[in-house]
Amino acid sequence: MPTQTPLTNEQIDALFKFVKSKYVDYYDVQLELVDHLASEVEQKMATNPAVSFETALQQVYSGFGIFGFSDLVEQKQKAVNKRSRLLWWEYVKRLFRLPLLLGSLTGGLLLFTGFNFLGPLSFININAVVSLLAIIGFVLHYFKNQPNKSHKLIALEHSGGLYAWGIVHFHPVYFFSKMIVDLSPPEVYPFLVPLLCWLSWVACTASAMGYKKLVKETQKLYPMAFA
Amino acid sequence: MNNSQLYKGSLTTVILKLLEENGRMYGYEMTQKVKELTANEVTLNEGALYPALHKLEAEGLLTVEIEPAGNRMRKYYSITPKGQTETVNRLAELEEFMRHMQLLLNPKVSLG
Repeated sequence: MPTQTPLTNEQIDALFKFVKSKYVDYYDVQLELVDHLASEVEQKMATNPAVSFETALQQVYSGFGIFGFSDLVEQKQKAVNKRSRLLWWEYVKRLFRLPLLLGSLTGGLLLFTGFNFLGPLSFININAVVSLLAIIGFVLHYFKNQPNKSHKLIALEHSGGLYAWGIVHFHPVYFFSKMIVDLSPPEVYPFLVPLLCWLSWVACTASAMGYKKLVKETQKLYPMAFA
Repeated sequence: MNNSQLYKGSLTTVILKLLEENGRMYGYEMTQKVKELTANEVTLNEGALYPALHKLEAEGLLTVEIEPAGNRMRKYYSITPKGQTETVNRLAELEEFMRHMQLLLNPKVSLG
């Protein structure tokens, strides 16, 4: 088997430029593609020393098919979305299992007690204000944990669904709560409104926990993107 | 993998089996291993390999590590306990499929 000569730093930089020129904007995808291209180019150059780096690169790139890297990036986005949904669902289930179930039940008890103590309108308004504070907290956390601008990460950018849900769902909860109070009998809404708010907080907590885990995993895998 | 639906349908099972037998591997290494095992008769297509790896990772069947390899970084995949269970199921399914195909394509002549 012919001896392989590792590519130089300049050739690795050229591979990064090549991958970027093919519209692969995400560092986590670039990193894997560059290693693949480099390994295959090294092998081609070792097998046939007459072949240039550029020619070997074009030959390797053709192996990715007519759509080049675009299909790969699209499929990666889908995989990241799927991972986010699975992660969110995993945390929802955890919130209904011990030990987190104790926290969920305490939160629920607080909401039901709060509703009876404050009355429907004050409860709905206070819940909306606390939700708004949670949204501000989320947004601050989101921007604090972004990778630097030269290292966009698909793993974080396309998990938006997980996070956005935690942010936007309070708005419909506010209006649904008001609608329930207006339209349902007085013996029903003291149960329904705190229940709706409790479920929305559980969903929101699962989003926040899932995203936190995702950020932690991503920071561990790509520390250079956060440096 | 070879441009056939038969091969494409088995790609994730092949990846799981490779990782189960070889421990952690990176993408290019898998393409070489498949070539070696099949005496260059089967080629893993990169355009299909990486999406399949990312899908398996998203499903929690694979876990990843990134380490320096000379002057670049390398992403290694390894199988999770959930992935090991899934490998057993998928291999059993594939073996059953092959058995059924053999029965269908080479039916024994029944002599009443």
